[in-house]
Amino acid sequence: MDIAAYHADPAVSKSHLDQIARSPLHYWSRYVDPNRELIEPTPAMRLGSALHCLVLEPELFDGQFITAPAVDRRTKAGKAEWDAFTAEAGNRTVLSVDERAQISRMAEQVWCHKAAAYLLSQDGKAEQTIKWQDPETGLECKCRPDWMINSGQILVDLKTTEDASPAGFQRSMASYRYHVQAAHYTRGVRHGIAADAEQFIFICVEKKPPYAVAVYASTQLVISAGARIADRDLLRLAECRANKTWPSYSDQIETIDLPKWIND
Amino acid sequence: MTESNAITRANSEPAAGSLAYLTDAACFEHIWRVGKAFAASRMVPTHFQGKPEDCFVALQMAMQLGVNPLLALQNITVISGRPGFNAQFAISLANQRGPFTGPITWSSKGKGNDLAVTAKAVIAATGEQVEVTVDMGMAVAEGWTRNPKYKSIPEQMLRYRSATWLIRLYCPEVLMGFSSTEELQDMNTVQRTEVKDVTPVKASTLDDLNQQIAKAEPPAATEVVITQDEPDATDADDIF
Repeated sequence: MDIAAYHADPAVSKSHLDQIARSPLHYWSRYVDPNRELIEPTPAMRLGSALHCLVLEPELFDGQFITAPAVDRRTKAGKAEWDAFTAEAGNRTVLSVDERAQISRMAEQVWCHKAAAYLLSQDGKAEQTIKWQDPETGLECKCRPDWMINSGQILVDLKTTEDASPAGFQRSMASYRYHVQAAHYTRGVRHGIAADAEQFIFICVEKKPPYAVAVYASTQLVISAGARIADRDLLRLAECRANKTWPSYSDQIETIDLPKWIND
Repeated sequence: MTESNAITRANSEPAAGSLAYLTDAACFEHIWRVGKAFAASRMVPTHFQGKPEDCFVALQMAMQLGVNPLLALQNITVISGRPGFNAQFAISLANQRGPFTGPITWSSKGKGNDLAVTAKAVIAATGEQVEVTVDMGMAVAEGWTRNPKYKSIPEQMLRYRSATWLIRLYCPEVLMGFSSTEELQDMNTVQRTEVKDVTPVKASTLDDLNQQIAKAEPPAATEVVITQDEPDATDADDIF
């Protein structure tokens, strides 16, 4: 299954869980609304997928990405060159020269990291789609581990980040709910391909020079906390689908307090 | 061409002198001191800084080849314990000392996965044109493309590979059996990928995994990145 088919499949992914967690209305607007608009990939998303391809499936890279020539489109010659390029590019994703250089550096640094290079050199499969039925809610679920070692024994996820330090990546885990991903994927391999994922490992590479790389394995606490949240989200989604109601935030006045972490 | 960057033999019989350090204590001492001086210099690549032992070995290589020691240090890398020359350096050595008339030249055809590069030279003694062609299909089949440089600068990598191959075939004496950095990297990436089937991970705990990582070969590209990413001396922070 290619990435477009994966995204089009209505089974519940980790991104689906993120949307329902925000509010059912957000989920509806992104995935159910018959008049929804396709989401254009942001530059950050484009960078992320190009890096994934270059690191994990380099043989597919040229078929999916192409680097734009640096031409002045205001001149006649420049415009002709650009038109020729657009024709050649077809439906490949166009990267700027700078983006192309950036992902090369990032990929290089990933391969220069001892643990990352080790993990990526093991017998593994990139970008495999896994589907299963959630035993609690009966919802059809899906996930797509970046890199799966020993048929699911170790799951590896490549992340681009501003700050790959332990504290920096902890913040990313909280903002982007990577614990939910770790739990959802771990379950995916258990129910989908009957494998026992012993590790869920993040390879984090910074987006700016020196493109520092760090590799983190999730603790059991991360997985169990993520699993609780995933359960809550799945349950909420199942209810919304059953009732066909997609509420947003509260329609009353709610009090607001400072976040817990600022209380001390 | 100035004396400092010309690749010319310092004297006609360097090989005889280059082994003297094995039997002559004073000679050994002297080379060791020179090695220490280079190791203390910030003008040698970072992988030689603070490593007098490595500088010592590199100086041996320089003497063997009869090239300027600084030039040798700039162009020798160590990958998984094997010293190698940058392909550029190997090519310039072959151009100046090899059996060819004129320098090695290249032609390329095809694009993307069909890219093929041919390195050519003419042997002076016979006038025979010799060539070696390397293509992306071979790079993929041999597993070299795991090295991201085959994506970022494929033609350059194929030029390096075809030329070093040509040198290895027609004038192996120029490199005296040493490999080029690029060959070593490619071999290393291949070894890394081949390890796949041989030693499956048996890591139920993170400690197991980290132990295996500690035992693994260092990643191929590390040394290259150090040599290539060194900032120019024009970087203000480096001068002051």
